[in-house]
Amino acid sequence: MAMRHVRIGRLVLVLGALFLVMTIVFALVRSE
Amino acid sequence: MQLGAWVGVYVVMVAAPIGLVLVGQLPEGRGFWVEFGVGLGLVGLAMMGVQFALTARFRRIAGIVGMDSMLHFHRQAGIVATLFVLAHPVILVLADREFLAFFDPRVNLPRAGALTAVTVALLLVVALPLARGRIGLSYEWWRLTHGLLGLFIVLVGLAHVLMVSRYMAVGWKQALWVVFIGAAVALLVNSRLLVPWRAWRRPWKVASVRTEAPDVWTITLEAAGHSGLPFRAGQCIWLTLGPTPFSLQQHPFTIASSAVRADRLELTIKALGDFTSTIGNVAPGTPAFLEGPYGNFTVDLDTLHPAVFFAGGIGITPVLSILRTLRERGDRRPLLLVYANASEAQILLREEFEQLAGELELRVCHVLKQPPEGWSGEVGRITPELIERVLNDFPLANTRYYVCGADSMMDTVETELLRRGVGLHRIHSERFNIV
Repeated sequence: MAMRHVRIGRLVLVLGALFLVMTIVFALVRSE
Repeated sequence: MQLGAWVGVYVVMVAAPIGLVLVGQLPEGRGFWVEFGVGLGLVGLAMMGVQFALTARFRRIAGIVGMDSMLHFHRQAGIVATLFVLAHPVILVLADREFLAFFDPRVNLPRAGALTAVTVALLLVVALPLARGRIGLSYEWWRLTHGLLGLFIVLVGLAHVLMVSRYMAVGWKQALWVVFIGAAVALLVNSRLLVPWRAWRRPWKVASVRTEAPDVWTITLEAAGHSGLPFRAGQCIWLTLGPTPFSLQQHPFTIASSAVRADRLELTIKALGDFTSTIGNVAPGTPAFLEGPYGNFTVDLDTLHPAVFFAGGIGITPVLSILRTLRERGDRRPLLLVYANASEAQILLREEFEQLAGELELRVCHVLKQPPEGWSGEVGRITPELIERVLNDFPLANTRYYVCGADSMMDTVETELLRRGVGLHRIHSERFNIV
């Protein structure tokens, strides 16, 4: 696996986690 | 603009739609899990919308990160977006069984049909690229199917958001989502219709096709009545041969000729698939259409950074363009080319490389897997030991590295260069299996 592709994979994972946290914050704000 | 800034733009584009939802008067909350399920759908749809921007072949972005990296990001982000969108109904139904009604044809047939179809489309859009080889789906038909499935998903997604989301009661919020998804659709229309239309107004024609080696040809294209296509040496274009650019047959190739001439381009092509196998039979005079140029496999002509090229087989083509361009510019930077082939007969343009070595500060190191008797060059594959040996007497400070060829060779070289402390920003790589 190309190193650049591995890094892109990691970046996408980090972004996915960020969006998940964002969604959780959205749900928390809305369910208060 | 640097890579970090583009990642920031991506995050803002995905986050903005859900952020806008929270502005202004809001409906009453429905508990954490329902709101979480709704949020997943909105974020997933926003990610799907941005997917269109990633493959819109913006030259500025592709010039920084490279097309190969861009498409890899598109592929990975697409899987994450699909997981978000698929999790949307699952979480909602688990939170409240009432949501099953969305898939119940007895409650609302068109709605249930559309949502079921979009679920199948989501699974197909992820599965088809993985299964394309096994089910014999050609690249051209896959690309068309992929575009149409993507279009269907975002349009149904938009309709769904506008019709059912309680957050969209306000007109301006609806308008913003329409603009957002409309922009994504416009990007698709641009890349599949407007770009070919522009290419149609700047036609090319095949001037000649010559054989370089068994199953390798160089096709020369001449601009027909225009100034041509300015490019940086090492970049690639998408080529369509035939009377119209509105064709499913569009393939990426690296330009092999010098960037000094924009109106006469050479593409050196090896028979690797259905389309490339027919290049030898293309008749001079055949109309051609080009889109591009793309890619960041280029040498900075404003500096004199030394450059080392690792090329395998047909991966030599961008290096050819770079070396030919440097020769015409009288460039005196130190250059090293490590060129790997299976056999001596497969070495392309060997005499020209010898000439280039005489005219540039270039050393050429041939590596053969099956050397002939009396061969004095390197033998075997490009290994860490070989890299160590050839780089030992080459200036290392500020050196830029260029790697193009088979995946296994590229992995070996990239890993070894990183191990030697070369930053990834100094390694340019071009992979052929980008689609």
